[in-house]
Amino acid sequence: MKSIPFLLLLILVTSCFNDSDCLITATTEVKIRFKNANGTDRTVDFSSITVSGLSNPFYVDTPASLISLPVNPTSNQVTFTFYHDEVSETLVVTYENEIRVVSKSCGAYQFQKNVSVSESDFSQVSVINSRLLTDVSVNLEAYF
Amino acid sequence: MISIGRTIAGGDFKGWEVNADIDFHNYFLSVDYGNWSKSLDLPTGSYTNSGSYFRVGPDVSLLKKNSDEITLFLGIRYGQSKFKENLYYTSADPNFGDIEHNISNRGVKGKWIELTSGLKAKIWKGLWGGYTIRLKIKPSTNGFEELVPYDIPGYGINLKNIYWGFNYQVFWRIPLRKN
Repeated sequence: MKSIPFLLLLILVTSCFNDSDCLITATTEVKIRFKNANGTDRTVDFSSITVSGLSNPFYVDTPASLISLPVNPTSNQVTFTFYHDEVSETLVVTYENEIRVVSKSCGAYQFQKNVSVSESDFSQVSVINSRLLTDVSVNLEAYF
Repeated sequence: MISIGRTIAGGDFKGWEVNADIDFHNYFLSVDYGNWSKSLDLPTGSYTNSGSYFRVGPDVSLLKKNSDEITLFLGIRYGQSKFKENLYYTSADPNFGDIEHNISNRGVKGKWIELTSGLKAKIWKGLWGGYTIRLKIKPSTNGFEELVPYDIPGYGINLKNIYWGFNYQVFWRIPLRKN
């Protein structure tokens, strides 16, 4: 019994303090998949896609069924406008910013969470994953 | 017994702690109060925090007979902290350019549980010395918004659900009853 505190001290002395590995999964890109009303994937020939806060179109003449678009890390809302087939759809995405110090050696990073849709011209938009992470394949599904 | 203990730490840490416990034969009620602050350089910025904390909980003596010379104990603590922190860093967004972040938390509260063990030995008359090993678990925080609390005074790194701590202490024993 008398040796228990000394054993605990030994464990403490020999244990190592490890900073978190710098495995940063934060991204400022929201991934959107486009679907037909029947649920099948739809490839759309976008003439252009604009992002609020950016002066130039983000994509031009791009066919895609899955697309990654940036959110503004200095805001809690971004508006995407999709131009195709002589029509356009607007999608307003809102999110919360969260800042974490990962470790002293890795530094601080910003994460976006609680992604949701506040306005949309699509028939339906489903939130598949509300966090913007590099290992998330789809955040939103937009139905025509 | 009342003691002033200081945790062994690096140059980016400043703190002090006062401990007191009351001896109920083989059982003790222990109370700690402390203050600590940290200042860290990050790759693209800096982090600082400062605050106070307290711990309270019982200890049980591991010795079958209560000794006037030495005490070995096991115990449990509830810890609570109130602190503020500030983070400054810069980031480079490929689309929106370089961004400066300057963000603070004020009035954040943290709490945790500790399992403790230690030794106190009589040095001379009422003067005792000793150490306490702490296994800190189950940290939680509230009162913050965008910045997730990083370092909790009294506990350590918030991201770590298990955290080890060690204090060495000098005590003065105040006799309150005749043996």
